[in-house]
Amino acid sequence: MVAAAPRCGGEGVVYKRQVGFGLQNSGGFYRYLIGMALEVSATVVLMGVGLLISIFGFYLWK
Amino acid sequence: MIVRPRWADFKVIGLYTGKVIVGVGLLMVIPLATSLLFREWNPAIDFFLGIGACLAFGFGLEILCQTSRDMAWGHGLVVVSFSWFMATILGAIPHYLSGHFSSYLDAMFDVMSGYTTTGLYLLQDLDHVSHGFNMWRHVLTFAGGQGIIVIALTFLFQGTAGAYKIYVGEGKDERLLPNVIQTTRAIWLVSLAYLMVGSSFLWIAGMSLGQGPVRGFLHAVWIFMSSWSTGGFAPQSYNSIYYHSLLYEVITVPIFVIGSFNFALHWAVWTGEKREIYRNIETISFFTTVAIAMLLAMAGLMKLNVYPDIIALFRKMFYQVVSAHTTTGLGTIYSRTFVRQWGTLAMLGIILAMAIGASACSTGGGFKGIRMGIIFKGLIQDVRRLISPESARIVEKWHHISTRLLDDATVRMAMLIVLSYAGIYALGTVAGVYYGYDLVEAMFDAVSAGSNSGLSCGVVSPTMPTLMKVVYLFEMWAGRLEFMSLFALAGYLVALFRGR
Repeated sequence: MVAAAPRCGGEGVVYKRQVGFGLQNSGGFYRYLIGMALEVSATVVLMGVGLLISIFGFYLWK
Repeated sequence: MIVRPRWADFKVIGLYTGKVIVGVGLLMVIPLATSLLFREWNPAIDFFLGIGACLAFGFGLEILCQTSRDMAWGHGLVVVSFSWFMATILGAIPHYLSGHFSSYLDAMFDVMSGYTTTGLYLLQDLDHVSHGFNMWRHVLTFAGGQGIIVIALTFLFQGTAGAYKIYVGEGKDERLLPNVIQTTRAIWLVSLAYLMVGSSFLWIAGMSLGQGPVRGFLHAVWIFMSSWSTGGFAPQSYNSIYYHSLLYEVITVPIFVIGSFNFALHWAVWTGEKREIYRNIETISFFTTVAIAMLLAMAGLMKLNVYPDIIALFRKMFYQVVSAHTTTGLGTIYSRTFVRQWGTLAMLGIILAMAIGASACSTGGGFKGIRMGIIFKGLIQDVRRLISPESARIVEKWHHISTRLLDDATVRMAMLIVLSYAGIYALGTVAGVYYGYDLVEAMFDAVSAGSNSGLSCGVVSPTMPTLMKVVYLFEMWAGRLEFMSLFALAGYLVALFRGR
């Protein structure tokens, strides 16, 4: 993310945010957490799909 | 006309191979430190010798091959395949010296299985290996999951012009950030963040099962490394059955599912592109094919009435199918259960899941979801062309990070790679059948090796024929590097003798 940052470096100074490993434009820590939560949610959805298939299959083939 | 490689070409290849091998030597410091910490003196000596061999070979090549010449595409691809091969030979030194292998080939098989995140093993008496050696097995698979080249680019290369050329050769051809070295650091950032979170959960789960803090910690880190890298190694021969814990299963599934996602997808989601997770062609492809594989496996299990209730059916079927589809290889059933209880149809479901595999630019193997998605879209496009007027221009779009128009070259490339995978799956199957194994069993383990999955129905063992070990080793290597690097290495060898 590129932003004008008067409170960090004075008027007109433009900086690139750097987070861990010197990565630029990486978005920030809270976005990482949201990203992780989203990825875990996708897995929970997959588990739900698996459970539905099991219930459906169990009664269909029984 | 084929151009014969010159000494200058070998110098470029040697220089960068040397750097990668030095990286492998430095990796051994982790298991060495573990051995010293637990006062395991014999394994510590094994790792000292391994480090010495890697550093001598690596620095020797760097000194011998000093050059300022830039790397070409061909060089980059050959560096990758050659350095993976040398890393396997040299990485097997501590394995062989541990005394747990009946031959050096068996040790190399396990090292290749580790690097390629396969998870098949020929090691004997796994339940009694040292902490240091177990650490080495899991570090191998964790490092291999991110990529040996990715490690070298992250920590050993600074501002190398040819970096992208060897990065691509390892089957990870996507840039998360404009600079390839920053891309590799982003890959490590994602992996290390999950390492901390995932290991913490597994540690707590382990201690709740009665493991002591140290043992619980080691198991947590090892199982995380194995799950995240879609590796399939475990510190105990019973693999995930050893824990016999629903909690452990519930924690490992998200780790290997997320580990099987494309790093470009991780980075997009982590940097604010939340919709990417359900718009991406690989996520859609993964959810679709995993559902098909689950239906097949479930039909097979229900036909034979293997499990008496829904929960048992879900728990066993879901874990095995998802482990297979993400090419992880952790299992909660015994190897022979596939043959003796699950039956042919359920095994075919697992074979299908393993063959398709994980996402491109991930830690996993197989055809990859992106190729399945592209080929499916290509099929739809062709059907639409057939039923439309000749003058109509049919446009098909696909979404991966950005929305793109589907062109014939993309479909052709995806088909070529899928065909190459089918070829190595067939090669392993034929080898198994030749040695007298049942067709489905031979296919199961051959697909497992070629897709770097690691589930086995019992074919892979220290007593299997030597030629099959060599074929499976080749399958793991070719499958992980997605062929191009190997084709380049083969081309170099041909050019060496036939070129002018």
